[in-house]
Amino acid sequence: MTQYVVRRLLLLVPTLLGILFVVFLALHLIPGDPATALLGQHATPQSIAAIRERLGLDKPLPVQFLYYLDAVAHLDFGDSIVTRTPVLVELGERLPVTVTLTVLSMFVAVVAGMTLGIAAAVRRASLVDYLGMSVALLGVSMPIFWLALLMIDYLAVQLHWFEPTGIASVQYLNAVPKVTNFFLIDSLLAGNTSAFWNGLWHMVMPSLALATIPMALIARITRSSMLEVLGNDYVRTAYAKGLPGRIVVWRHALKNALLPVITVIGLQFGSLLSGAVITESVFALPGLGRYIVTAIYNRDYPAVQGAVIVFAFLFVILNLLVDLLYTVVDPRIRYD
Amino acid sequence: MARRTSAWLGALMAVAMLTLAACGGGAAPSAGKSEPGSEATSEGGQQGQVTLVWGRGGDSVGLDPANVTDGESLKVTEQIFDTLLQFQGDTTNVGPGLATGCEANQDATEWTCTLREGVKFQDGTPFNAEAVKFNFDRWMNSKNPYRFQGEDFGYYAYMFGGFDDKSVIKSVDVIDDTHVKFTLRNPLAPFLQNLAMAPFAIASPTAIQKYGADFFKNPVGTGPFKFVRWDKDSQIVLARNDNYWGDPAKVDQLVFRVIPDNSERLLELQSGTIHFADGISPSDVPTIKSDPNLQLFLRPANDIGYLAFNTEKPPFNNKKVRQAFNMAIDKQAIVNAFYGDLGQVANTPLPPNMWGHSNLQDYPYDPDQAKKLLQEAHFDFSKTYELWAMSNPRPYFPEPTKIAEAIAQDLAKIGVQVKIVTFDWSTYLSKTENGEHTMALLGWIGDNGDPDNFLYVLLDKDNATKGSAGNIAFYKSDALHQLLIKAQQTPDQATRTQLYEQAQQIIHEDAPWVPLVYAQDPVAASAKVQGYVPSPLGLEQLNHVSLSK
Repeated sequence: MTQYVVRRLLLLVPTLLGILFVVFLALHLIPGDPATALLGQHATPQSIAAIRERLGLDKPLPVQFLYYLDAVAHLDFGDSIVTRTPVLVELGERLPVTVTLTVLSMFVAVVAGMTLGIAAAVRRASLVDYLGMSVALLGVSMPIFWLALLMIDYLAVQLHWFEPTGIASVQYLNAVPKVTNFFLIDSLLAGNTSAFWNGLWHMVMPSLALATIPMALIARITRSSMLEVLGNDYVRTAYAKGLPGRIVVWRHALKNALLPVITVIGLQFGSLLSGAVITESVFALPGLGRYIVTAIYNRDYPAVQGAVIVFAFLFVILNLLVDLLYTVVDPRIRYD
Repeated sequence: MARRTSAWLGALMAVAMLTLAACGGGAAPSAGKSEPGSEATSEGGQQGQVTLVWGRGGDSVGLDPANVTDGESLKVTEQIFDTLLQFQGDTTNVGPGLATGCEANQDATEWTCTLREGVKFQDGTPFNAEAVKFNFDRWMNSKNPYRFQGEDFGYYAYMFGGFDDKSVIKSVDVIDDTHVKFTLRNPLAPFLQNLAMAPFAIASPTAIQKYGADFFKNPVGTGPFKFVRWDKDSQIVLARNDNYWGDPAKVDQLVFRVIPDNSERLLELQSGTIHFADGISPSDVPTIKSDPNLQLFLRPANDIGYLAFNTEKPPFNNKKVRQAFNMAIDKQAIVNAFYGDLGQVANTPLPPNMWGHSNLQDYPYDPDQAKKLLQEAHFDFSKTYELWAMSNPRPYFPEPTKIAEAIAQDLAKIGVQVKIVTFDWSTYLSKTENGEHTMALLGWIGDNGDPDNFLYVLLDKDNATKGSAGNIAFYKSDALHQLLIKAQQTPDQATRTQLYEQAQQIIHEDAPWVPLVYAQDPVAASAKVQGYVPSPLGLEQLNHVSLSK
């Protein structure tokens, strides 16, 4: 087991190297260059040359790549071309927002999706089933940005239940000193519970919007997987020996139906990370997704490369966690 | 052992989920009550503080005005810093700022400015002639010890010709505490206009020495607001400078919030959580006008949206073809369709409110005449010509690709086939500055309220260098060049006006562009906002703005 984990972690190195190479190449192949992005229409031949020289863009591509690899090997992702701040510092400020959003969304998606799926499977072909699956279909089909706009317009602007965007109200943001960059954690560290609730309240709409697609998928997989298991002989036996339905469903059937659900959850983490790009823009959350989009527009090479590595790293680690979770759910699976 | 590790991981995840469940399940206070302009009574905020919130589309890049060129950065530095001279209200006229006035010698190669007395930077450093010299020396000398890694001073190079030997300003000398003398290598007519530009604001020398390369994150100036904190991609918080030399700010706090999506920003304004929203789409203007809780401000036009022909490439090296295209495009229809009240048909490259703007008779919309001209020029109707448009909206082109479609339809009416090509903004600039296009839409927003900043920058042969061309028509007219250089060296505005009138006539005749539209930039605000005057330059100090109850 330990060996397996170590091997998977070692595999991370070539994976990340490959990703780095592709991203580096893609970035340098698309037209446009950071000097123009930086100076806009106020470029002079001298100023463009000066910037290209400063950033090392006047050197051949392979040389630039080797310099970059050398820096990354020393855990130096360089400075953002636009803001002149170390990329690691900038990522450290944004990652917590994206992690908070992703985790909360996944929580919503898992709880709501599995509940819907189980209910639909147990009461197959009933109103609950049809309604649940319609909600799931709607969830998969609705574009996130559209749903987000509707939510903001109705829930925030018209009903005033929420504030439209941002990670917290201005006065709370100002009151909480930054320690971990997780606003929710920092507000608790500062002992400011009203700031904490305000921050959490701000995350409700974005989490719901981002959760719809994974929730719908989880619901459908849970339903079909549960239906399959519920048709098995041992479930009939369990019923026959007089076990209450609750026990049969939750203890006997669900555990065996979980495996495909976990696979979907793991894969959906990836789509959540990409969905965060849209959600963060609509809800004005200062996260990694928005950072990467702005960086691409500005041709901010170090920033894009750094952010992509972090995304890739997260994705690989999450996949590993999912694989390990299999062994918990199904003791027959071992990685020796 | 293997089993145990995985069990632990599972347990850990479960605990994390449970913790979240506990948090998510609790009752949260309603967010509706926390309006920023109202008296904030949270534990953190002080009692009775009035906060003004400005919503915008993007974050600032840096807060050292000399080292940025983007509007989102300058919008904020304008509050923290002051310039020697200042643009007045909703005009581009220049009046006193940190200097009460500047006098020129006979041939306008020496300017002596008198500085305001008793002004202090926000860190207590006195503002004086030494401070002015310190700033200018840092901007103009590439070997200055207070230039730090990554600082480009792009705007200085752009407006004053370059650094060291190339800088128009040869030296800055301290005469006494309140007098400073600028010696120029040659006369520069827009000199005073340049001094009023936001990038040339005077920063505290002590703060630059103290923070070094981090000054752009710790800005200290003499302006009406002082810097408090910056949460990247989220907000920048400023507080009133109680020792401000001018009219003190009417609010306690000024917050610039980033809300990337245009519709969301407007929704925030409607819900009362912000007081200003810029970057408004023209299609939202009717909504704003009909909402009694909102008001709409229009910045006087200070821009031009145009179609440039690459005059080095056939068929556009032929003047007749360019003139024909000028007659083939129905500009009025384009303005009606895409701008509503926010646009005005352009007849020359200069915006209508700027001195020097010529009222010359524009080419009429006349497709028949256009077709005749093309036939005279032996135009090849069998070919398809590329028309370039940027993919993202610009202030002068709210919907660039749709405007390109409209132009393509007009051209189709005279038998010219056009294919529309788009790139994202950064790519677009690189490629057009490199002259890869044949026809391209582009625009310009004025920097300093001087005609030179439009005509010389966009149409002089000096600026037609491939790779960094401002003149993307690559239009090279010696007659025009002589007029523009003469105007640069003439201090007298009446004489310059005449020169620019002639220049516009030459441009009209040669037709390197189709000047399309002057657009007004809308700013939406809450009805509570009072005392706001929108500047044509897109930047204004907000110390006069207050919020009614």
